[in-house]
Parts: sequence; C-alpha cells; structure tokens
Amino acid sequence: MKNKKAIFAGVALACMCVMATGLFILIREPFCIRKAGAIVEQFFGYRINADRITLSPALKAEITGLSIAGPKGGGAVFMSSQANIESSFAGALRGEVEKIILREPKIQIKLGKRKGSSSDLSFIKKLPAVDLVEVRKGELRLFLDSSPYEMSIKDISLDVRRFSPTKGGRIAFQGTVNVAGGKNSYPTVQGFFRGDFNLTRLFPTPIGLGVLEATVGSGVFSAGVVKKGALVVRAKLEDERILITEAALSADSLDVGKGEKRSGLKNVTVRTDFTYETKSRRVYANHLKGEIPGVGVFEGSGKGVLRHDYPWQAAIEAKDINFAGLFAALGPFVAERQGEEWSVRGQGALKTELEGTMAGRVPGARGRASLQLKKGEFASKDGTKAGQGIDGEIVVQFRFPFSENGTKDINAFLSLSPGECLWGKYYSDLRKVKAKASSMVDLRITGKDRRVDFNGTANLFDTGDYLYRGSIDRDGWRLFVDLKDISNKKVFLVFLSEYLGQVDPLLKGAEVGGRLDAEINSEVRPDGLKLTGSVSARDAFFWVPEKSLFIDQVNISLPLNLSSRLTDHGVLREEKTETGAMGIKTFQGGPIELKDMEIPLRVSENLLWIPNAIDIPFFGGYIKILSYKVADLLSPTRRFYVTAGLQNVDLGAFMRELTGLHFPATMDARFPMIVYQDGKWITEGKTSVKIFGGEVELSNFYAQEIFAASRKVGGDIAFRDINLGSITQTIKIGRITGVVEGAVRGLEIEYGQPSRFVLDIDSVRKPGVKQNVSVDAIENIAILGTGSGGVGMVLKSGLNRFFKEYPYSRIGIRCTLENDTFHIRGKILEGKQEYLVRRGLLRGIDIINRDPDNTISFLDMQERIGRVFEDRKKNEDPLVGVN
Amino acid sequence: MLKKIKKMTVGLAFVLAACVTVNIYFPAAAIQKAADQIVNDVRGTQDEEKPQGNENKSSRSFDGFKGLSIGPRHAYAQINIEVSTPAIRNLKQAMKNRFPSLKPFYDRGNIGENNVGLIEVRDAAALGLKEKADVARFADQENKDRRSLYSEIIEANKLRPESLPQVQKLFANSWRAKSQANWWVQNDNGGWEKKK
Repeated sequence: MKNKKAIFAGVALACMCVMATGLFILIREPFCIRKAGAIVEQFFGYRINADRITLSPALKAEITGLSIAGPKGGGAVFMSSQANIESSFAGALRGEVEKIILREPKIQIKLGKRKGSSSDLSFIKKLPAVDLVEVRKGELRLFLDSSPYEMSIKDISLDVRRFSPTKGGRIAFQGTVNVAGGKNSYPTVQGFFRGDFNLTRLFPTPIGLGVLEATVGSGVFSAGVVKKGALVVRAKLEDERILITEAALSADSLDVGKGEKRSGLKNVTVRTDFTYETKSRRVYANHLKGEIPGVGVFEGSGKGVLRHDYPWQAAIEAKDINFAGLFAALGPFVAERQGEEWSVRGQGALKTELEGTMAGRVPGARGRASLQLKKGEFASKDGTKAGQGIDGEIVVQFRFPFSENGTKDINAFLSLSPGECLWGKYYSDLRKVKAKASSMVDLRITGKDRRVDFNGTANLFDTGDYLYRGSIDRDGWRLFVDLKDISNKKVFLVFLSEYLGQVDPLLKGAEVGGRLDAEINSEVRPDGLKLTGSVSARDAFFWVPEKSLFIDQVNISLPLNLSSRLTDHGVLREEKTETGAMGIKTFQGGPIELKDMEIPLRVSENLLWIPNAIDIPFFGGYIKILSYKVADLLSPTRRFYVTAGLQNVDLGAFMRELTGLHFPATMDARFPMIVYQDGKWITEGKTSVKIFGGEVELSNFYAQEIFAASRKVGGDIAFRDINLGSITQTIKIGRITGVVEGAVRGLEIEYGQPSRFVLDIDSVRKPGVKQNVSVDAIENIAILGTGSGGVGMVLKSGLNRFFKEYPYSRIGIRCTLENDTFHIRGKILEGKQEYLVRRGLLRGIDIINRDPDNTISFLDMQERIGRVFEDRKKNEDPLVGVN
Repeated sequence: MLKKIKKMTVGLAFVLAACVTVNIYFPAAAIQKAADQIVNDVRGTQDEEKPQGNENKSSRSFDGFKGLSIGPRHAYAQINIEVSTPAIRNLKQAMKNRFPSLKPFYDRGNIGENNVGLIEVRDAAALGLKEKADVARFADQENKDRRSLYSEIIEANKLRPESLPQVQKLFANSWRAKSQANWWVQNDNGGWEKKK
C-alpha cells in the first residue's frame, strides 16, 4: 500500500514536472504567448503582448517586449523592454516575490472627463510582499482628453525595498517632469522631483516618515513665469493623522503679469505646517509664513473641517508692508491706460480674519480686514499728480457668497490724515489741518451684472456733515449727495486758501464765511448727465482785503435742474420751472457799493433767469436789471443775456469814487442787450448815456477777461451836443465853452491802457452858446500837443495878460493811437495851415499843427497828461509862439 | 551787326536795372532783433551774443544772397517791428517779474527752453510737491504770456496769423541763445542739450 502511494506521488510529481517543463517550453513559444494574450483580452479586456518570456526553474522569469493595453485601446498602456521577476522557493510558497526589476517601462495614461470615482485601495492588501522592486529609466505620460496638455515624467527611478502591505517598506523615487501644451499654449514646465518614504504600514492607512522634493527649473504659465521654483514637503504619517511638518515653497523668480507689465518678484518663499486628522477630518495649519522681498513678511494660520459644510477659518497678518513693492507686484493686475500708471509708496500693516463655508446652504466667506498706512505716497507717472505724508486706516468687513448671483455686502471705514497734495498746479499742505478725513460706507453688490449700491457718511476735516448714496450699473451711475451745515470758512481754509494765494497774491488773506447746505442728485447715463437738487447758502461773506472787495450777508436758495441730455438747449419749459432767490446785503468792490439786493431766480432745464426786473440801489439811483438769462449752463459755451439800464445815477458821486473827478450830472442809460459767450461780453445794439447836456452812444462794445490783468475792452463811441463848459468844469484842463460832437472809433483798451483808437472832435455852432477857450486851456492843449507849457507864459505876459479867454470859431482835432504811437492832427485846413483851433473873426487864438508828421509815444503822452493835472513850475520860459 | 547786339545788350541792361519791385516779405531779421530786445528786457541780460538758431541763420544767409542777385532788383521794405503796445509792455513786465522765480528752476535743470519759444518742464522728479506745483504754475503762466506776446506782435505789426510759427521760432532762437550756460535748450531737431 505504501509503495502504491509512493508510486502515485512519484508519477504525479513527474507529471507536474513534465507539465511544468512543458509549460516552460510552451510559454516561450510566440504562438502560446499570443494565444494566452488573446484569452486574457477575451476575459478581462486587457491586451497583453510579450516578445519573449523566459522562465527559469530557479523561479526566475524574464519578459521582453511586454505591453499591456487597456480595454478597447483607451485608458492606460504599459510597456517594458524587459521585466525580471525572481523569487525564492520558500518565498514563492508564501506568495512573496523577491525581486521585480523593470527596465525602461513606459506607461501612458489618458484621463477622461469622468468625475467622482472613488479610490478603492483594498487591493493593496492583496499585493504580494516584495523584497525589492526596481524601476530604471521609466517613463510616464499623462494626456488629458479635453486639452492639448501633456505631462511626461522621464528617467523614473523607483526603489521599493522590503515591501509588505502590512509592514510597509521603503520607497524612493525620482524623475524629471515635463509639461507641455500645444503651440503657444501654456503651461510649459520643466522640473525634477525626488521622494523618499519609510513606511511602517501601508494598509489600511499608511504610517511612516517621508520627504518629497520638487523643483521647477522653469515654468511658463499664462499668468507668468517661475524660475528655479522648489517645493519641499516633509511628511509624517501617523495612525489617525497626516502631519506635514514642513512644506516650503520657494521661487528664485516669480514674474507674473500681462504683456509688458511684469511683477518681477525675486526669492519668494512660503513655509507652513499642516495637519489632517483622518477621523475628525479636521485640517489646520498653525504657522504659515511667507516672505516676498521688497514687499514684506506675512504670517497666518488656518483651520477647517473637510465634511458637512466644510467650515474654515483663516487669519493673515503682515506687520510691515512696503507698499511700493506691493503695488509693483499688483501693478500688472490693475487696469491702467498707457501713460496713466501710478506709483504708490509707504509702509503699512495688514490684518485679516476670515471665515466661511465651502458647501452647505450658502457657501461663502465673511471677514474683516484692516489696513494701516504710514507715510503713504502716490504719484502719477509724469509726477504732476501726487500726494505724500499720508497716514490712514481702512477697515473693511465683508460677506461674500461664492454663488455668482449672491449678494455681496461690504462695510468699509476709511480714515485719512492727508499730508501734501499736488494735482497739476493745485498744491495744498494738509499737514496743517489737525482734523482728519473719514468716511463710512456700506456697499452691496448684486446680480450677474454686479450692480453696486452704496450709501455712506463722510467727515471732511470737520467742515460739516456729508451723506451720500448711489448706485453703479452697466447703464451708468447715480449719486445723491446731501451736504448739511457746511462751514464755508473751513472748506475755504482747508482746500482753497493756500492755492488761491499762490495763484494770485492779491487773494492772500481772503476770507470766506457762512454756511452751506445742498442736496444734489446726479445721474450719468450713456445719453448724458442730469443734475437736480438745490443749493442754499446762509449768511455767507467773501472778503478780499487786497482787492478791497467785500460781499456780506449773501443768502442763496438755488434750485438745480441741469441736463446734458437735452437737445433743445435754451428752450424754456414752464412746467419744470423752479424758484429760487439770491440776496446780498452789501457788495463793496473798491469805490462801488451796492446795498440790499434781492434777486428772484427761476430755473428750468439748463436755463437760469430772473422773472421780473429788479432795481439795485446805486449812487442815488438804480441799476435796473430788466432781464437776465443764462442758457446752456452745463456747456462750456454757456451764454449770458442781460438787458439793463441805469436810472438817475449820480454820476458825480460815482465818478468821484471811481476817478476822483467830479461830474455834476445824473446818468440814465439803457443797455438793450449784453451777451456773454466764449469769455467775451458783447453789446448788441446801441447803448446811450445822457451826459454833459448831450448824448454819448456806445456801440460794438465788448469786454474780455474783465477780472484779469489782461482784460480787454473795446468798442465805438459817438457823442453829440456835448457841452464843453460842463466837461471842463469837471476835468480841470482850463475852461472851454461851446458844443462839440465826434466819435472814438476802434477803441481798444488792454491791461487798463488804451492801445488804439481814432478820436474825432468837431465843434458845433449852437445859437446862444459862446465859443471861448481860456488861457489855461490853451496852455494845457499846448502841453498835450507839443510837450511844452511855455505858451502860457506868453499869454500871461504883456497885453495878453488882460485877456483870460479867447474866442474861437471852430475846433477840429483828430487824435490817433496805434502801436503805442500817438498823433494829433488838425482837421481844419486853410491854405497850407493845419489848425486844431481856429480863432474868431476879429480876435482869438489859432492853434496850428506845424509838424503834421509829429508823433509821440504813448508813454510821453502819459507824461504830458500828468503834467496837465499837476502844478506847473512857475516862470517857465516860453518855447513856442502864438498866432 | 555787332554794334546792334551791343546796343541791344546795353538797352536790355538798362531795362533790367530799371525794374524795381517793392516786396514786403516776412520781416525775420526785424522780429529777431525785437525778440532779442524783449528777451534782454525780461532776463536783464545784455546783447552780447547772437542767436544761433537755424531759422535765423537761414534768414540771414537769405538776406546776403539778396544783395548778390542779378536781374530785376527787389527793394525790401524796411519794417519796424513795434514792441511797445500796452499789451506787450504788460506782458514783458509780467515775464520780467516772473523771471526771478523761474531762474532757480532753469539753474537746476527742471525747465528748459524748447524750440517753439516756450518753456517746458523737463525733469521735476527731484522737486518737492510744492516746488512741482510752483514750477508747473510758473511755466503755465509764462507760456500763456509768451503765446499772448507772439500774438500781440503779429497783431501789432499786421502780420498774417499764419506767421505765428515763424515768430515763435525766431523767439525760440533768442530765448535759447540768451540762456545761461548749463540751462537746458531744445535744438531744432527736438533733442535736449545743455547750453554751453
């Protein structure tokens, strides 16, 4: 019986040996290899090919030209030029493999769009224990189904030693990474990675220590370029948590931005720890620290739970931010027009506290950020707009849902202590102002269009109460501003006083007072601007000591109704008329003083006018404003139309204040139409003034820049029936009686001095009116005409001294001023003589122009006029003769 | 025959010599002289050196060739450039008053004389904000006055408005030529250089 069993065992063993030998022999045959591959493909879908399989009785296998492809040619493809598998007999019996060596294995994996697949790693525990796995010159290529990117890992070396699913093992690997897009596609990355993990368990959860290092020689992304980037992760895998004891990310050069705008950051580093508790699924990083040289150091921490609503909290603090570096880094992401770039400098601190949820009913973030700024500066590229020495603080609280349609709420508080401010030619040193500027604003961003609604309050250096609200959307913006109890004095001192003093020294020492209230609604849409509301001033005053200008107790109630949308500018719309008023208790400008002006106002779209005539008391009479209208208020070419008159104005008092001369007359005048446009006042029609018994008529009158030193005034003047006696009583050039008429044509006065005119004076015989000229007048005319007053001595000596006056029969004078040259010509031509004044029939005096080409400069004429009105030296020798 | 030809030649010469046309050209030399005078007045300088600008050179060389011209002679009307209207006097005075304020900025190279008779702020980077505002305001006021001055000279002398660029160019010659050493001036090609 025993023999039978032994024989059976021997036969079985022999059969097995024969079968094994047969298998060893058959499996090396290509036919069998193909057949076996076909069977595997039929049952499992994987196509397996091998050029040759060599099995050794010493439990060694060598496979050359091995390739394994996924089902239907998709998914993964594995190829290896040579695979060696070895095992000891005892190990084989235990299901262990002693050595697996893969040479030049190549794996291609194509990733599809399928998402949400979970990884079942339970197969790990079924893996055989391996004493050594070696992969040399491996290659892994990853393709994405929907993009042109391809990642390849080459020169892969992998060493796994003493691997067991239960006891872990040691795994070391390294390789070079290359990520490439298609033509002109990003990213392109070249790098190297290395890892070394010593695991004491692999399944169900790995336990052990390890380090992973990855370096990026160069990486080009659509947002920028990274050079010499490095990531080092030191991990500790524990039973219930994964510890990243240190994760350090660094880049020698990080250049982000668009086009030519690059941030150019150097030596950027970020370090953090990280813990993941596998049971509770809590994650936290206690020490995050980053440094961007030139910008600053930031530190922070964060924590969260990776389940339910995925709640998280984070805090970041940067105690010493260099805003110049920060702005340069952010510059590429700020939309600025070419040539309108700004630079920012200063030191500051940032503190943020954030929290939120990544899932749940309303995933989003909320938090608080405060930014403190010290010695802040900003400047435009050309340096014409700048500010410096600005200290301030911005505190922002916000709530941002992650959904696109969710409403985003922001509350911000801004407080500033401005320093110096430059805006073109405007400069103000606000360091002198002790108060601060601050504002509190609530913003709400809603909808896909990101409509912004805001409302807030502001305090501008304690000048009053400012409220504002408005909205911005794709169609334009609306802004309502409510100014209450604004101190004109403080506004002037803070914003204007210094600047006006620089522009015009005469405005130094100017003072403004009173209070201002305003409610202004503005709306800007693609078709234009609309402005409504009202402005009111109470007890306002304006005082410029250097110009002797004082306007006191100004009370204004002015409705606003302006629109640039109208096409029918200047058309009165009765139904939209609003009423206002302006009252001025005192206007004192040099010698001119106006009192108790009450001016009603009407406003319709782009029009402002006075509804009825108003009388302004003026030197015993009135200035009558018959009509006043301003059209196209918003347009730079706005026009003013004024119809006015003077009634019973005491010309004597007026001229005495103005010139020191006394004109004993009352003045009535009517200005039919005065139009202002493009910086020029023009009278239409003729303006007549009754004076000196006659009439003076002004036409083509214009005035430019009337409040500037370069003011220009001009026009034509015609005069009739002017009584010379009345004039010479007023202007002390000596008594002349008679009546004259004439004209001043092309009169032009620039910088307060006449620059050109043609003056004609002709005497007119009037019954009963004597025509005499006094000795003093002759002397003065001689001074004006010749520059010498000697004729007076002749007339006041000998027999002549008994005659104080001489009759004349005619006066005819033409004076011209052109190019600073003054000519006096006589208009009376008799024989070869040119007379300015022709004597009477029997007696009298002739004034003859002996030198028709005689010209004098305007400066000389000024000097001669000066001599006429000053006491002349006595006993001056006569230099000219008298006919 | 020869006598006839001689007579005809002499006759023709007399005819040519008798043809005198009086032309009034743009009075470049007179305006240049007026510009020199105004610049001297404004800056308080003496007329020691001649302007070196191309416009001036070309106009002067043009004057020289006129004397050598053969054929019908052209008599060039002597034009006296008026530089003393009230506007011109006031503008000159305003510029003269402003010059002490501008001079430090010239000296430090912040401003320079460009090639169209105006001041240009070249480099204000080193200035404080107040000085930047000052130099911008002074330059703006100065240029406004200069533009007014050039227009006034054209108007006062009844020149055509189109001659404004020529007047500006001539004044640019004077402003640049009478600039002090180390002041920035813009050459006719648009480049900036320090006056030597």
